[in-house]
Amino acid sequence: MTWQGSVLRVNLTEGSYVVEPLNMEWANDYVGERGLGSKYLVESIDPKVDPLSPDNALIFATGPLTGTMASTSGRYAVITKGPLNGAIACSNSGGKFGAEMKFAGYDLILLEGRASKPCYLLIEDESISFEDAEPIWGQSVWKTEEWIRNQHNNPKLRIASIGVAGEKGVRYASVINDLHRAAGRSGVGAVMGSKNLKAIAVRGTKGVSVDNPKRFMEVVRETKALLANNSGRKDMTEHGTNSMLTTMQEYGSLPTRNFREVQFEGFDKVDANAMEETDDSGHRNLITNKACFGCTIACGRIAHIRQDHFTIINRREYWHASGGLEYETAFAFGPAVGVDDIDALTFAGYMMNEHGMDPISFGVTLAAAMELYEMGAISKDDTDGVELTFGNAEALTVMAEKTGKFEGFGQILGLGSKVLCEKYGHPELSMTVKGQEFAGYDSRALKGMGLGYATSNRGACHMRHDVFAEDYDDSSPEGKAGPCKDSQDRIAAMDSSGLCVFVTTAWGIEEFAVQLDAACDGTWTGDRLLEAGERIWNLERLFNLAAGFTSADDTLPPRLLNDPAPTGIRKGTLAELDRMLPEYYDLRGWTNDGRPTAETLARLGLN
Amino acid sequence: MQKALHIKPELCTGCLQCELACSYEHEGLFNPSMSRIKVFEFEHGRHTVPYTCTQCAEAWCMKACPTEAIHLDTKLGAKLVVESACVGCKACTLACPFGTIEFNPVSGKVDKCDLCGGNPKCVEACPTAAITYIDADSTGYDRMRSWAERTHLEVSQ
Amino acid sequence: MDLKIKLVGRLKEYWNDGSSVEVTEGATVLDVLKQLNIPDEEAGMVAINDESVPRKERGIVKVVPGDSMTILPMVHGG
Repeated sequence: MTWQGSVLRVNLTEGSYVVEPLNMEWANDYVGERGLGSKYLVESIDPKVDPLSPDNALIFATGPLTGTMASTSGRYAVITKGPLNGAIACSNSGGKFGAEMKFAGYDLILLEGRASKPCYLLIEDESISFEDAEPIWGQSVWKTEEWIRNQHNNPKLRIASIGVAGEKGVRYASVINDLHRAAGRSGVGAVMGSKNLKAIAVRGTKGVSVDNPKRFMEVVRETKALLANNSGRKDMTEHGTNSMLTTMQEYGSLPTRNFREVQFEGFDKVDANAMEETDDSGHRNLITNKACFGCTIACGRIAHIRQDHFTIINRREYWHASGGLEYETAFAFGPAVGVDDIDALTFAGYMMNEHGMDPISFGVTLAAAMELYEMGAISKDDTDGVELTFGNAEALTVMAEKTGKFEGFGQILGLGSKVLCEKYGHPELSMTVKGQEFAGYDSRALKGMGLGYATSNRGACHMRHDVFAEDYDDSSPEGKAGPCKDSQDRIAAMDSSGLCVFVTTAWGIEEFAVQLDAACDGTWTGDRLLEAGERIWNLERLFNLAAGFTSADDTLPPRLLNDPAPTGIRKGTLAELDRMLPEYYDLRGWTNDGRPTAETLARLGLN
Repeated sequence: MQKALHIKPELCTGCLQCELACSYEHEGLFNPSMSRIKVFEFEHGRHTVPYTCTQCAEAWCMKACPTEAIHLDTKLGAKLVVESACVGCKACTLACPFGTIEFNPVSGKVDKCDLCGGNPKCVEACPTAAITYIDADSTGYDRMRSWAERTHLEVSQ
Repeated sequence: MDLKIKLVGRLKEYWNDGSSVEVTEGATVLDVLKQLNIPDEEAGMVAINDESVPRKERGIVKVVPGDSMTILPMVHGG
């Protein structure tokens, strides 16, 4: 069977662990990764716990297809109660760590309590030990990975760790694995830091079996061929996700200068083409593309910064290649803050990976700070003397590093846009939902996207729904609620499989189902997965309701509701959330105040 | 004609599909730790380099084996480990200059690339043709051709 | 008649031959897509003079002289 059937439950307070059998009833209902991890979280903690207290749990979860030969099989998710906003947090990541964890024999690692001093977990198949992390506490992710491998003289260890941002409780700190892949959002890294857990280092030699290997191999050959021949896949391989930037610019959905505008005049200096251009000195930002485990797309960018660029001219330690710009990073460090210096963006990206932070939340928080600065609500006295104006590349790179290291004004920026804007008396400037910052899509031009943002269970997130086709079709709020709800359920199931959502350029739910059916016991159909997705969505919703969220939190910032899109193909439109939300609740089988009805819960087996 | 694996690291994305395919072919499950081909990463993943046995004509592993457990498949040119004869002494692993024959602690024998009987699964699995299986006398052909082109263009400019 | 066109992103791989194309008078959006070798499903959004054309009307809406057309690729995920 393709689940390993084992959960590693670690009590950090006591420094003990136990390997439990995986609850297969839950696996059948919640699949894996996001769904199964959420089920374990819900069963493990009180939704009202302080996210940074020892009472919170932190779960690393793989899916049934993680580690198999299915394309993009490297995914794992980190699930916890998030410190950015107190909602259920689930951030998934690629790289090689997730598959290695599964090869060691564990579907989930569930961490409870808080270690008395900094430690890391060393896992080599059945051998599990708590190791002293004092020598690397205060060190970056990059140093941590190198140090741990050297310490154990084992270059085969795959490592997920936090940087200083996670240690110090930056509310959007990430868990970084394999140097530059991130369980990026919602502050899962800060929870890890609060538990005094610096890293998990793992080596697995057990492998993964599937239920029907022959059929599985046939099926993955077919699904991989579909992906290989798909034009969206080719685009991601050749140009990365940042090819999106030009499209959003032309459409007028590229949030610019804290969402005051929807198009950015400097877009062509930070988009995929700009990464691929060779400049006068012969330098090209992009070096090559690379893949996560098992992935036949390889959208990942490897880039480098010009050695004479102001960020690194005197810092030789950055004269090397590393993870380059993806769309969200390019958006958050480019248009969102008005910066068009691609090397500055790339350096800020390095800072996110090295110190472990979410580029979306950092960039959008910085954008709010820049707006506050320009309107006079904060001054150089607050910002350590940095001129925090839109377009200032140095402000971007300096603040990225300060926040990563939790220094000076970085300590304020590290609290997120909502707290920042409230602190300085302008809560309306925070571009967040439920306290989490928006990704790079403006909700006025993309109505269904807006509804998806408003109802996403982890706060504003672009990866929880897919309504592009309908949003492109017309600017009306009509007919958006259905596709939004359906895609939320679909993606919840996909996020629970162990595969990457980027395959949806070529695969629908049936392609997921056919692979799961060959890999797992029992019969797995698209309908079964959609129902599991709906169950997962409602489980997350119930957690948030119990944590204190209400339907009043299913909303968007006033800027998107009241200020028409100033330019673009959807010029003049508003987010019009109130014309979609009631229909959405209705389709979900929720009451007018956004609570699942008894019938809905019974139908999904959640009562 | 004899064929050989031809690896172009510049095309490799580091996805490890080759390791998955190799382990499935030889072990019946997905387990890169048992793969006979391995992909190495350098400089934050900038370089990803697949590496495996090159099937030396004069194979040091074969010569070092005291039990004659490694024999030559004359058709493929592959050096194959006869599991029943291998005693797990690891002499071959010391003799191999490239490290591409490895002890397997589960079986107590050594593992190496056997070219999958002439249909290497790593080749089939590679999404970018970074690993191909071509005529053994042509592994340098493309590189030679590109140098020829470069030299010619320089001369004719 | 001359139709001004702007193709975005990967759509340039189907047609990368300048910023205008000669189309017959009365051509529909679908006709233009066909002429540009762009599969219907690949065109995520078609706008004429910055007004988007719903997918179901692509076979009905006709271009007229002076029009300019923007075509965006279909996108998924983030």
